[in-house]
Amino acid sequence: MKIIISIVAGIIICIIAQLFLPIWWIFAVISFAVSFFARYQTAGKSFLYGFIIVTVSWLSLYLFKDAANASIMSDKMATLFSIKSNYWLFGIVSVVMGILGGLTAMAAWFINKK
Amino acid sequence: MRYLKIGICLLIPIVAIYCLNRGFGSLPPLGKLMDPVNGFMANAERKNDLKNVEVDFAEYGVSGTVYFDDRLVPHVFGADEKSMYFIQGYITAKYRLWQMDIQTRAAAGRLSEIFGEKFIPYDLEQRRKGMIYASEKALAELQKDKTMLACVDAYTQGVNAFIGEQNEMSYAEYPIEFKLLDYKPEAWTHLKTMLMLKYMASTLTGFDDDVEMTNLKQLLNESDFNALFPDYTDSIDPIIPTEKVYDYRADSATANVATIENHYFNKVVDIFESQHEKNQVGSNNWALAGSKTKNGNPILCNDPHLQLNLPSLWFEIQLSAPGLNCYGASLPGAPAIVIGFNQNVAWGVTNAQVDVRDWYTIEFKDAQKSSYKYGNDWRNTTQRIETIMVKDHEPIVDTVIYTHYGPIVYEEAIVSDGKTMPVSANRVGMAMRWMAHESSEEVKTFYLLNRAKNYDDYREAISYFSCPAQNFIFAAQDGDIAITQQGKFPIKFKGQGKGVLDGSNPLNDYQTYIPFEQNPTIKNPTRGFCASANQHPTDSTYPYYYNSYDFEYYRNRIINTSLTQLNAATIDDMQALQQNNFNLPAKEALGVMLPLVNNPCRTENGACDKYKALQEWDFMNDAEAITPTYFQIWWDTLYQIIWDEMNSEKIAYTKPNNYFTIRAMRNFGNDHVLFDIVATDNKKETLADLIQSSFDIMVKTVDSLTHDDEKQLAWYLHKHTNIMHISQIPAFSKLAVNNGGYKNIVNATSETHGPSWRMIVELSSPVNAFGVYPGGQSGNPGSKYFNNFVDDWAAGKYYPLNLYLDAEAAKKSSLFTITFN
Repeated sequence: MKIIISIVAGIIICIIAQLFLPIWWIFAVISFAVSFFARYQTAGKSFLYGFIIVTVSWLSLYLFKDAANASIMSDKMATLFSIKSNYWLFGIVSVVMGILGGLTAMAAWFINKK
Repeated sequence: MRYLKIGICLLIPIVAIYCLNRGFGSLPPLGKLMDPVNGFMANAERKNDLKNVEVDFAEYGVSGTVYFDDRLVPHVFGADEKSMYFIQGYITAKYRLWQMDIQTRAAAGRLSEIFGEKFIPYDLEQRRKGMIYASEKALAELQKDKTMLACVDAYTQGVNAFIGEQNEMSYAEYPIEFKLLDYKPEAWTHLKTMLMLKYMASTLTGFDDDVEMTNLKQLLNESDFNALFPDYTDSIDPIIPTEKVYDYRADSATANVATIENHYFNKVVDIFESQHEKNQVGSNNWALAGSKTKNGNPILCNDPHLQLNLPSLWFEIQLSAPGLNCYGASLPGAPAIVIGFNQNVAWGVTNAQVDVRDWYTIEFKDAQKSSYKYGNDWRNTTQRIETIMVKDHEPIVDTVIYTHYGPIVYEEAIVSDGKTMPVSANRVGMAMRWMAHESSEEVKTFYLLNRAKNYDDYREAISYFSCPAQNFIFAAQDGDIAITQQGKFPIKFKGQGKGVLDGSNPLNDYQTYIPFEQNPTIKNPTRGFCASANQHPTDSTYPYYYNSYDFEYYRNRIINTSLTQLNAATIDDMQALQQNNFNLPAKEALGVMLPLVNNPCRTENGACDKYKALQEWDFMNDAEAITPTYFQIWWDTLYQIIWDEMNSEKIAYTKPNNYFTIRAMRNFGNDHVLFDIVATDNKKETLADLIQSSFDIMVKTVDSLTHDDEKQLAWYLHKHTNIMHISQIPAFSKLAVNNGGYKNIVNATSETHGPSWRMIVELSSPVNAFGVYPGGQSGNPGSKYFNNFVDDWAAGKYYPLNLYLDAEAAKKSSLFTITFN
């Protein structure tokens, strides 16, 4: 339960931070902080939850904005980067950022582990 | 161990974030770009995010309201003129900021700042052509005219109010192109507006073939040269109908001019790289008198053929303030409306196509180039230092030498570190004399046309226009129609400026200019219409000499014939004519080509059906038709082998245009020496040989295309009209637009150029107007208004252009408003 709450809270905080702070990499700080305070059981789980928080946040932001735009922008960007479709673009970027978020979450776990 | 793990887990994200936060070469900072909130998704406009907005610019003392209609056309109602131009600047920046930025950078030779080293040669050439020099002169002229200065002031303020005084636009707010190219918007200036107008001058008059003509004079004998590059022909249909009597002579002021014969250099100008791109700009315009139209009202039509890009060159707008109310196409970066109409009059332009750029050889006294020979004296040169900033590179400092003619454009440029920089051509020691360098006040013409009420206002307005010389067409509700070829034209002796001139002889210099009243013009001609399509302005009875790098010989004949036959004309007739796909050059060429091919239908082979198709063709270059593809492949092949002697890799030549090529095919005789292929030493080819071999090549080419996919032969796919994003990003472009037409066809849609704004105005009361352009009002690729006109334009549809008489009327059909107070 605590884990689910921490993940949901992490996602919400991450989305809000991305929305209101002009720092694109803020997700890395947030996944670190969430992991630091939530004290997950293992390094692997810390990575996984950090990954989930960041990937889900970025994907939701993408999909929400994309729906309002009917994919006009994202289709063009996917073509520009020679990526199959806009959803692949969202997926690839979110996963990459998720991995970075997972790593900082894992770093927090190692720091906690005295 | 633990610290190592912490280190690794933190180091990887930190390094990754650092890398994604900065650009590498042409790669933008990907992290910033991909940010789902402030990155490219910030440019993903919400489809229905069209709310009324109020903005506060009290500090500027502006007030007014903009009503946007369902095509995102702003209808600006300013409390006064200043407010109106301020709002025009603001709204144009809102939708076209990056375009304004990049086009003025391109004009000024500042692209290397953004794109790096590879644009140094381009920038150098812009500097050496004197683009900034010309703009500074125009700016100095502007500053003398209080009214015009106030107008440009307001526009500049409006643009900068959008960007923010301290450039406080956030990354999220940047147009997507700034994010992709990784640079920031900068403040707008008056100079940028001048640069934009000079950019148009360069687009429309920045061509000549003086060097090429000089060289051709050596290659060809006199009779061939005169047959292929004559000043007049017996069959031209000029803009000013032949009924016009020129009751003036090149008067005493010019007596000293007409005394010497232009002597072409008796040697070849030793350069290779030709500056002469086969020019594709052109336009149609015409005006019908009430006597020729169904409703008895004059109708004016215009479609300027320019490079088709996204965002489009044009921005549609209505400008209204106490004392004026007009509608039309504006140039992002310049105040006022360029082509449009108001309640009383309509106006439009086509390019004059007359040569206003000449080259003078300069004899310098010594290597310092501080003085040059002029008659019996030495005149001093001046120097202009041009500094080009280059991304990831040392700045380039170039010293350009100016004579009284103009800049020495082509020579080796000395760059800051002492190395030489090759310029795109090597016209060592030639000065460019270009009308775009003269101080002038083009904005004033548009400013006054926007307010014009009648013929006299029109004449006064265009009298301020120097360069690029244009055919200004005009129609008024009171019934007048008129056309004037307006520009600043030097009075030339016969042949002056057709080739390179000797700059040390003062007789070759320009002495004086054709007075405004004596530029070609006609009001209410008896035939009931005025029209122009880049052809000769006059017949040979016009007292002044002029020449062109490329007059047009086909569209004018179709238009003039159609308009002569047309009575009780309607808007529909005008639309049909603007989209006429009749390929007159094909008709005339095939008349010579088909009889000279061995009839392939005597034996059974694949060539027969193509031959038959060409024989039965109605000469319409319609989008889905296949025969135009046969013809074009055949013609392109034939044209190349006919003029093979001009394919030199060492010497700059230009080839005769289609019209004179077809004439040569008809008149030169089958075994004329020019038809012989130079490369085949022991064989003498005739015209019939060339026609046969090019036909065979065409058949093979078509068969190989058919092999892949029969559909590839559809004319629009073969022609492949691409409306490219200005940055050439294909993802932001419209490729292979489904449209017919071609060069030399009234619907002049080629691979890259075409009718960039189609406008039809019936001067009824109220005015009844239609228009369309292949783009969209928004410059944002993430907007549904980015390219929403393209398909309608290609399909030949038009939109009603609503000139609202008051704010109430505009409000009724508005989608949303922006209020300034």
